[in-house]
Amino acid sequence: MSAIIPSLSLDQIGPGGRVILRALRGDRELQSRLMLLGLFVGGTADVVQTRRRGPTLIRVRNTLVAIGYEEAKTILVDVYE
Amino acid sequence: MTKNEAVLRIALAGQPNVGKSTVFNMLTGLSQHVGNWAGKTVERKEGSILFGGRRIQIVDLPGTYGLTASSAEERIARDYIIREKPDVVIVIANAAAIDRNLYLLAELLALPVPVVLGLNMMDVAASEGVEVMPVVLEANLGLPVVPVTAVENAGVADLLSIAVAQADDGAEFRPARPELSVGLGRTLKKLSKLIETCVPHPYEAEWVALKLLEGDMEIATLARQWTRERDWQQVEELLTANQDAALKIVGGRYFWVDRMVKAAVRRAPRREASLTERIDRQVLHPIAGIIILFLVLGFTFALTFSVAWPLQRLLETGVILPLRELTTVVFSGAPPALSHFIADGILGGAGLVVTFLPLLLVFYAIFGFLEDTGYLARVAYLTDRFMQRMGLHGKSFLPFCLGFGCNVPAIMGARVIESPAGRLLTILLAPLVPCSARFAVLAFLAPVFFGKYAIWAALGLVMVNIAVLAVLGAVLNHTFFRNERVSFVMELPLYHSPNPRTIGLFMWSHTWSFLRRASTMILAVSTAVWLLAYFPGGSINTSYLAQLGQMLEPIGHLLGFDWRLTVALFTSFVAKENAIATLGVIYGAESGSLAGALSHSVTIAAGLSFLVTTMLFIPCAATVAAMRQETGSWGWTFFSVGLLLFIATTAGAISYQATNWLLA
Repeated sequence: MSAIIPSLSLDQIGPGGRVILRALRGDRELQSRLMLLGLFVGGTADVVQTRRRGPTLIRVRNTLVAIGYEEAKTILVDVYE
Repeated sequence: MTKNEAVLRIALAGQPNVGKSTVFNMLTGLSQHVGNWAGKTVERKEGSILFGGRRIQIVDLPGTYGLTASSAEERIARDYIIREKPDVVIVIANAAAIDRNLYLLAELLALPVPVVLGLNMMDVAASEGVEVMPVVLEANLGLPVVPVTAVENAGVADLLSIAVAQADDGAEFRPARPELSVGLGRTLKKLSKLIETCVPHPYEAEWVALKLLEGDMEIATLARQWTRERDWQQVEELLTANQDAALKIVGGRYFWVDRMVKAAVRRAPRREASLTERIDRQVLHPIAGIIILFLVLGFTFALTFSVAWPLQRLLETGVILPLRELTTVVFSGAPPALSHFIADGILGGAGLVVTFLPLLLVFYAIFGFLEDTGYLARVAYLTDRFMQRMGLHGKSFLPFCLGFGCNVPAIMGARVIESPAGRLLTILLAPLVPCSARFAVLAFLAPVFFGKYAIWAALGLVMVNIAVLAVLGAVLNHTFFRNERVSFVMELPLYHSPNPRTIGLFMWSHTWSFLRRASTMILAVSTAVWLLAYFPGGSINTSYLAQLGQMLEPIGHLLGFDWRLTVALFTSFVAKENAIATLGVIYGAESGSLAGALSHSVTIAAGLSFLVTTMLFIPCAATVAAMRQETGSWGWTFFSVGLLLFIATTAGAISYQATNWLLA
């Protein structure tokens, strides 16, 4: 696990990347919805597919979750190695 | 009353995509009743059954990921459990997604109600290489766990009898519960002590304290009203000192879930891709995925029009028309107004709307099928980037698709969008999707006005509608909805084979609500318009409606309309295809064939303008009624009607003047 690389936002991670969630910067409602889908601080996720300026598809707790471009920017992560 | 005679109440809870409605359908069958939760546009389903000689009421709670107050669904689910106190709650989880599905269970266990876990989709889990051992899970959780495969009706009866048994000895319920860290636990104790004396029944102090720590706004507002000023200050101090509590509590629940399922779940080593992964490789592919999407949509329309369209014509010419003729014969002795009212007002208005039933049935069958397999969620994902430009997200694409069949279900379908702003915007834009009734007008009039170019003209007119929809969406997004961001976070469920029963019930409940509307609202408006078109003289040419059309002639002039086209446009408010019926009545009074009369007396420019205006005009009465119901606001309903009126007349005027200029 690398804590040296500063946190990136989820939209910057390419397909195949495994990340550990560091912080949720969205408003309270968005935070709550993300957490209920398994995206909580300290949890991990795998990036499955990305689209330029489009949604990011991730696998989190063995389910696929699509996250809009703007929403992905509010999720700060570290790359898990 | 002895205990056995009392009604036993069971609530069904579960996250979305766990097959909860299939379980509910298996339990209740057609005895279910579909309505709305009081004051909400969230569907409420309940059913009453006899089981072992006892009456059991089953309430299907909305599918929710958790029990926070962040969505209407979650508030409904938790309010029901707290206030209505069901005898037992059945939680349905998808065996293949158990690591996330059990989060809801973790939240539910904080409420004072016995819980039974139904482990659904054991077959789907197996096909994804996941094996769950219910016995191990039951031992860990300390509550009954029942494996079910609802689509095959396997285990559903067991689930019910175990739930009933659990309800009967409700006191004997001591499951494992998620625990807080030592420090947070101490804070929780302090908090609940502070509010203990003032938390009213049926709430429990410890649960309220937990929700306060989680930062639940609704509970915070309530607790503030309950608590004495002095105590509240201390509560706030505690909360400020523990601002990260929410993160810890949520994380703690997930770690608890991990501990519970760890020994109970075996995953096949991932040597090869699972079924869902293999399908998604094609379906979500940036190029192939879009091609597949267009093929699916094309197939949907082809099937709708090749199967349902002839049926609609058959109903119209084979049932409604003979009935209208029969009416004139049967009521020949009655006052002419009565027979005209039944023939033209009821049968020609509301009756004609009912003939669209086959179109809806086919459309709902395909949609129910795509929804049940898991494909519809992918459509939302694929179209999200495009929809974002209108301030919407991919989920709005689905109601728009429904709109091609009929705008009413499109507006009701906007319920899938969680955010109120996104839902409202979708409702405002949905009437611009050309519905099948408008296609009918187009199919009849385009050949009259444009001859052999009819198909291209029709295609162009549909494109105009879609372009207006896109532009209006972008404009509203940057004006009225500028500060409203619609967030797109959506689960893509695992694929599974569709269940005919689920699709059948989906079709049935939607069609039924359409018919109910046709028999009330649409009937009322048809009657009103018929009255205006018949009185005072008994002929549309001298009616109040004609007078109104003549009064509006100056405006109509800009669009190239004479009063007859204006009146036809007005009557299309009852049902879009009424435009043709009205033209038939007015022009028919003068000459033989409607097509001949129209091509003779309406210029190409006026014809184009009429079609542009009709396609964009205010939606039919049924759609307006649906808008009022779903937005809960006359203000927004009138806003939409006014806006569409403006857009339609402007576009009509532009097309009329431009065509004249080009042809001059």
